[in-house]
Amino acid sequence: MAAEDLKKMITLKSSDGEEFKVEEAVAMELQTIRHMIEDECADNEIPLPNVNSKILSKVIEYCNKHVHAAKPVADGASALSPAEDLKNWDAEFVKVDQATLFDLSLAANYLDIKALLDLTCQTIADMIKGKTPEEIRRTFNIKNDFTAEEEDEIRRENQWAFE
Amino acid sequence: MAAASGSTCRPPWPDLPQELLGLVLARVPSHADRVRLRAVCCAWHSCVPRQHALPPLLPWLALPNGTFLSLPDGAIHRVPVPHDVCWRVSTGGALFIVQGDGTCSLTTPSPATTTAFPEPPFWFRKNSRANHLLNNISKAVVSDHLVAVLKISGRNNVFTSRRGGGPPWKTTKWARPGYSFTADIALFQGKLYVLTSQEELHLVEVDDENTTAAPAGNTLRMRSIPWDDEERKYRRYDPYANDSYMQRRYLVVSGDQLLMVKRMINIPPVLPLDSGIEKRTHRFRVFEAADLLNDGYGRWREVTTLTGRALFVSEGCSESIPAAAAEAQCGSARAREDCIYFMTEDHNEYFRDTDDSAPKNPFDDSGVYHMRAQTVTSLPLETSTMSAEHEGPWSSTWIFPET
Repeated sequence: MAAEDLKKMITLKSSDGEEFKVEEAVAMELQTIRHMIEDECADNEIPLPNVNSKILSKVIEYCNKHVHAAKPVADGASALSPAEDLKNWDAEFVKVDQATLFDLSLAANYLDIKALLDLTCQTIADMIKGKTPEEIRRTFNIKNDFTAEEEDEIRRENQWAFE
Repeated sequence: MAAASGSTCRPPWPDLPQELLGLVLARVPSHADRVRLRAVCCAWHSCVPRQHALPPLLPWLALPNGTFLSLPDGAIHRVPVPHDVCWRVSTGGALFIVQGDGTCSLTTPSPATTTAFPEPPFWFRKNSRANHLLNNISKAVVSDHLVAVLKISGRNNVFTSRRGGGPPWKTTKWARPGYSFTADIALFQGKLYVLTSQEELHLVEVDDENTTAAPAGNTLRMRSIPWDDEERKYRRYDPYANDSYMQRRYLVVSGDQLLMVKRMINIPPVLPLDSGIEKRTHRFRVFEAADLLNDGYGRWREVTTLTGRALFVSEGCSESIPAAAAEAQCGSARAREDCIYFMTEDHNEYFRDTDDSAPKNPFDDSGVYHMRAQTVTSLPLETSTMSAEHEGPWSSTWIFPET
C-alpha cells in the first residue's frame, strides 16, 4: 500500500486546459512523451496542445487499463484469460461515435500509442471491408468528389472490383 | 491538426492523415477492398502509400472456368480477357494469354493492362500439329528479355524466345539431356534454370546475339540428396501398399534463394480398386540450391524455414511472398510464414496424357502445409465454394494481383 502512495504522478494538460494526473507508468505508454520522462527533461506537467480533454480522458482510460492488465490479477475470479478479458474490453472501448473514433485515431498517432493505433485502424478497416465505394461513403458521410471521367477511369482500371 | 470537438460536426474522414490511411489500407482483408477504398474520394485515391509499402495479401486462385477466387473471403472475380483464348497461364503477376490466331499477350488484373507481343513465337502459330500442341503448354516465365515455356509433350520440352526490339523472335528449343523429364523452370536473378525429375539443375544460357543455335545448358552438378525413410518406402513397388507416394517437384524463387520444393502425394493402392483411399498430399520438403556460383558444382541443402516468407505452388505458377508471423493478430488475409499453399495437381511429372480429360477440381487435394508442425490444414476460405461448379478447361493456378 505504501508503495502505491509513492508512485510518481505526471500531469497531462489537454488543449482546452484541463489537467489529468496519471501514474508515470501510464504516461509512459505515450511514446511521444516517454523519452521526455526518461531523460528527466519533463516538468511534472506536460502540455498536449493537439488533444482535447474528451479524447485525452479516453486515451488515459485506455492506457490505464492496458498498463494494469499486464499485472497478474489478485483475485483471479474471471473465467476468461486476462488476454481475452482485455480483448473484450478493447472491443467495447471502440464502440464510440465516428467523431470520437476519428479523433482517437489521430490522438493515438500523435501520441504514438501503438496498441491504440492498431485498435482504431482495425476498427476503421472493419467498417470498410466488404463495402462498395458508395456504401463506404454513406457510412462515413463522405462526398464523392470525382469527376465523371475520373470515376470512369477508376472503374475501368479494376472493373472486376466493381461488379 | 487540432482534433475536432466532435459532437455535432461531421468528422473529416477525407482528411484522415496519409499514415493512418495507410494503416487502414493494410488491414482491409482483400484486393477488392483495397481497390474500393481508393475509389471513395479524391483524397483517399491520391493519398495512399505506394504499392510495395503494403504487405502482400493472399493471391487469387485462378479456377478452371476462367474466373478468380479471392482468399480468404471467397469472392469470385472476372477479369476481361480477349475472346478466343486458347491457352491461359499465370506468370505470377499476370496472365500469359494465347489466342486462336496465335496472338500472345500479357494481361495484369490490377490495374487492367494488356501488353501484346509484337509477333508470336513459332510454337504458337496455328497449324495442324500446333493446334494440338497449343493446349499443352504448362508454364511460361517472362522477363524483359525473354519468354521461356515448358511444353507437355513426351518428356516435356523447354522453348525460349528473346523479347524486345527488332525482328522476329529467335525461338530455340533447349537441348534436354535424353534421359530426363523436365519438372519445372524458373527465372532466377535474370537467368533461366531448368529442374529435371532427376533433381538436376540446368542453367540455360539464352544467347544475346541473333543466333539460331540452340541455347546451351550448363548442367550444375548438384550433389544428390539422400532419401529419407518415407521416400525410400515410395521406391518399393507394392500394389497393396496404402502408404505409397507420388512425388512432384517445383522450382521456386524465394527472395534471394532458388528452392526445389518436393511434394509427396499419398496415392491409393493399386489393389483393391475400391480401397476408398484418396490421393492426398502428405508432406513437403524444401531444398535450397546452394553454391550455385561454385564453378559448375552445386548442392541441394534442405531448409526448414522460409525466413519470413510463404510459398504458393502449382504446376503453372509457383511463387513466394513475404508472410506474417504465425501468431500475428491482424490479417487472416495474409500468408503465414513457413507455410506452403497448394492445390490439386493435374499432372504428375511422368505421365502427361495429351488427351487428358478436363482439369480436376482444384480443391480435391489442396491446403496449407505447415513446415514447422509438418501438418496440413485446409486453404483459408471463409465460404464453401469448393464445388464442381468451377469446371472448365484451364488448369488451376495462382495469380498475384498488385493492389
